[in-house]
Amino acid sequence: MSKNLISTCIVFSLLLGSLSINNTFAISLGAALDEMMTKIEADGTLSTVPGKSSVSSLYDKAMKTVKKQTYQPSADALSQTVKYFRTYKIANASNTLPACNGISQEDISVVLYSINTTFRNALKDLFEQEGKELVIPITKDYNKATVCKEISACIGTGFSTASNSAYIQDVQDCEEVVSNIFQRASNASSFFASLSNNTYGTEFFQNGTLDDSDFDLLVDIAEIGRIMFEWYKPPLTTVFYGMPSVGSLFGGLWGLGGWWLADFPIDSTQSYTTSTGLFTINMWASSPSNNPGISSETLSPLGISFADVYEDYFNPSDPNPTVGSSSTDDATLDIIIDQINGATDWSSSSEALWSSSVSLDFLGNNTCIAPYTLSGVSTTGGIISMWWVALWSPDIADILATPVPSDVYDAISEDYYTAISPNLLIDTVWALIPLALSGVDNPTQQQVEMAINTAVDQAFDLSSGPDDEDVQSCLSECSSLPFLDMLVCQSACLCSKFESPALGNDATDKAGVSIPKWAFAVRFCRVAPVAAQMKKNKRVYSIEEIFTEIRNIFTTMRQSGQLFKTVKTKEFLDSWMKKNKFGDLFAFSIRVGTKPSYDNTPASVAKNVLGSNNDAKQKQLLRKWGDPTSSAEKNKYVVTADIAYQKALAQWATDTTALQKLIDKERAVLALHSGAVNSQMFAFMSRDTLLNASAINAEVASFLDNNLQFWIFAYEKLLDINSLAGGLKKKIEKGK
Amino acid sequence: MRYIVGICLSIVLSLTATSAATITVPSPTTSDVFSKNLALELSTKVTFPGDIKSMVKHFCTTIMSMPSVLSNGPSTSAYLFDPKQSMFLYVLCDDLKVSGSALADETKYDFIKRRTWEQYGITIQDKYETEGICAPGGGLQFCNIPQQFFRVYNDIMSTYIDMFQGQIYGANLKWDSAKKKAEAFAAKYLVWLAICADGNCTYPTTQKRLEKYVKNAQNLRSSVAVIDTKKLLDNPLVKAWCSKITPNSTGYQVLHCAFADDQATSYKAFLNLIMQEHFFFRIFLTYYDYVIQTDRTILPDTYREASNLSAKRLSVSQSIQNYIWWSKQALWMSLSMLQELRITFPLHIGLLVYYEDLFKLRKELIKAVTPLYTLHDKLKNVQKSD
Repeated sequence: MSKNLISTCIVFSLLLGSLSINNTFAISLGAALDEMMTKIEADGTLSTVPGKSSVSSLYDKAMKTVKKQTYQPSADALSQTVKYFRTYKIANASNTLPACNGISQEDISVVLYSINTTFRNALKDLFEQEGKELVIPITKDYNKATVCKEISACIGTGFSTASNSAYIQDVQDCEEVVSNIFQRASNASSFFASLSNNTYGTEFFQNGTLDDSDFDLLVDIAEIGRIMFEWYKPPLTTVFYGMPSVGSLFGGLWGLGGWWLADFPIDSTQSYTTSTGLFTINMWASSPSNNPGISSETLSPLGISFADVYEDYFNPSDPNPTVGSSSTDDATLDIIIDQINGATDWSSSSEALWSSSVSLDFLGNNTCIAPYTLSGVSTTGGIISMWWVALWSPDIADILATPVPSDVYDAISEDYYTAISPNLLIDTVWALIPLALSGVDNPTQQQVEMAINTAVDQAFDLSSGPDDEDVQSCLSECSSLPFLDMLVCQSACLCSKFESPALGNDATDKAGVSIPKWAFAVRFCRVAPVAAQMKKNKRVYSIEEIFTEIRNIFTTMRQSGQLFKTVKTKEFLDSWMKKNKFGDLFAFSIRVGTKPSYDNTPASVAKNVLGSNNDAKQKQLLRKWGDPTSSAEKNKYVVTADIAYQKALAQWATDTTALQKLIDKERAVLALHSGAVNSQMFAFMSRDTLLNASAINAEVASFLDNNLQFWIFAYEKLLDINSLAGGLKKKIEKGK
Repeated sequence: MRYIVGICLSIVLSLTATSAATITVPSPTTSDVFSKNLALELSTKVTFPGDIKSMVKHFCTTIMSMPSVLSNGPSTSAYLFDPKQSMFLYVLCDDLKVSGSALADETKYDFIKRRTWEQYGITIQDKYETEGICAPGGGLQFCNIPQQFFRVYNDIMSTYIDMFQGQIYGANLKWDSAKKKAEAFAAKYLVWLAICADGNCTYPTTQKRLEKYVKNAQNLRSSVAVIDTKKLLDNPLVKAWCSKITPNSTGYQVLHCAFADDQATSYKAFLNLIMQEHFFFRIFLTYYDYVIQTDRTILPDTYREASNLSAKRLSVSQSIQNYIWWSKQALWMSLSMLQELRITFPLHIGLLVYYEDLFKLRKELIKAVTPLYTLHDKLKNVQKSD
């Protein structure tokens, strides 16, 4: 029997099988999985009392969590498998077959249900656990043969993974490929889930968020910091998102992997080296007037891969396409989008697709702010920072390989060169820097920076940037958006791009390949002058850090002119001070009064002093410290990790055996006294509790210790103020 | 053959119990009379042709006839595992008219809210052949007794853990006002701060927050599914039976003592209570799984064909393993969170006190500093008249 005939038989039998499955469950399988996960997530058994000081049932929370952990890997893996096929075209640039955009979750589910035990069991379990029929109408008549045909059409014979090099020639191959990909994704998801399992439940009340608990110690500490030091209104800030590494996107030099690696753990059996690891991705947001652009919800900090971005942005099946001609304020981006929209052959536009979605931040720091600041070039009144942007072109690797001119290299210190050298690869700027440095022997770093600034100023036309009114108008349109979208929108308003006129329209690289004008550009972003102020909920761990924060605020305000607005309306006779709220400036006044001081006490002495202070404090707090037989004392603020051990250590022991005996004895005494038992379970839990209590108490004690020092400091300063005020009062009274 | 099967079951149950000990669930491993007796009974028992209730009833009769067992060591330092005091076994067996459970005595255990299957929403047909609740689609997974009693187990465990959680928040069983309980909590943990004394509160905001915590914790406790907390309080036996914490094989009341008033001394009793329920739930699931896997007569006729049998058995077994895993993990996680809560909540209240202090200080400083600044500004430009 020929292979074709076998395949036909398999297709036919599977077709029947898939119909049978649909008939059995009367729902779409993929949709059922999604539906079930949502139900678990929204389990109504959690009896949270609304409002502040709420008390949630811990057992309900725990049960919901463990149930979700059972099925989440399958749900995630299904989603990832669909993404894999949809972005296969992107990750395999040489593939000339059409993209797998039509593959849906239901399609994959139909294939997986018959071949993959993990998926099938997960789905069946979910049905059973819920104990009722889900009514989700079938909107499409699926069968495995059709799905496999579709997959085969876009994967073709080019499919290859580390563990599966089979071509998709029949349904059996298709099943194997789909199952293989699903299983890898499922394993990865399970792996990640297992990482948190070990500690899950032990840090709910001290992990810095109220998402999983009714209160949190770190949030309390942050609130304490806020009430004392965050007196100002939150400044307008721009958020620049950190993106996944392009290196992983280009894993295997356009080979399979790509975004795959961005989502899954590295497979140690494979090598994913890349020559483009230097680059990082950055995203350009759309203008507010044309929202939606790239949704902030798809951005990397939220754990979403490039595949998501691609899906949102370019998925032809999207009923609300987000791209179109001149859809953004960014002319360069518009050009690229137009190119993509106009392209019918994906094979020739795949790189352009990258270009439009990915800009390569040569600074490698993922932010809009360069390591140095341009001064005196602002047309907008704010501090302008810059980043260099070069868009991907097929010959960018050649350009990068261009040697740095040796004379300029020599003029710049090695450290500085290392920091910014990628920028300087743009020849037009390079050519101008030596001119700016001409006549300067052994230039200092400052002189080099000035030279670079001058060169950039000359190389790029900076006169056409938006003025303040434009920016304010743009920003006002952002205010009504959801928070994250608003931030993205603001970043779009605050940045503008300048192309290099020096590059000209007919520029070519050294290989003679034409370079489009937009290939090299500078993106300037206005950053609010107060952007360096203390962030909300920022944790401060030491007194020194507090002062550093205050100093930063002060410096920033001073530089931006906000601090000094004294206007002499009549020389030497009157003055008009800025109407500051002194209450708000309280923290500030401490900064003004005293510069950060550093203790010159030798570390060894400081350690001893701290130790004795802690001892004194512990005794003060516990009162009966040293009396381990008082079990009630364990619940106080400070406890030791192992009372018996500590007590045994205080006694004389000739060797470790004797010490162990002492420890055993002390433990026996403790157990006898407190009614504790010799049960392994209780011993384990008691020890665990004490260790944990010790760790938490150490953290809080440290926090309180720092606070105590601060208050001693503040007290001294207040005494000074009191003394000054008293002296002043006397002088005034005396002068009457 | 039956004897060999019995030995196998004994091994299975022992292994389960052994592994339980390593995952912080204590079990009477050293004297596992439960698994041994169940195995012995099964080795002599005739089959249960399709009769689910008979199968469960046999389990109940066997286990209820067993004496309580003290785990891990001498009686003065052991956990008590008493089938007659298990809430799960009581709910499972009482509807089947299996006597023996101490909880059936409604004078001593008048605080139990739900006693029957109906009150838990459970409907189980006598035989698998009966369709009834087995819709839709038929199949063992829709007639799954473990699934239904998993809900019972969850209700029981949720009740116990919620009640203990409430204690940590200061909501004990006395019917005092939330204000008084909050004061008692402060006196216990924050005595050196003296939040409130004689009606005068140094930290009124914190006091209100604490009261609200206590009130919400009280609400959580009073809304539990299985226990009527008011009746539990009024029950004179709660304190009378728990004058000493050390369990003993004759008089120790697991349920009463777990919720005796003193939190410090009832923690071990609480552990005893939840470990006991967990143990008997697991041993029931293991028994059920064993019967399904080995006794063909329990299955409906339609599943006795060889082609269907193993798949259906596997399906039930997998689901049972899920219940065991979930209950074990959820228990471990809940205990971790309780421990965490016990340590951090007093600290949380302490930090609220500190926060309130800072707030007051800041407010006062504003009053003091503002005139000074104003004065400074005015004096800065004072000119001599000449």
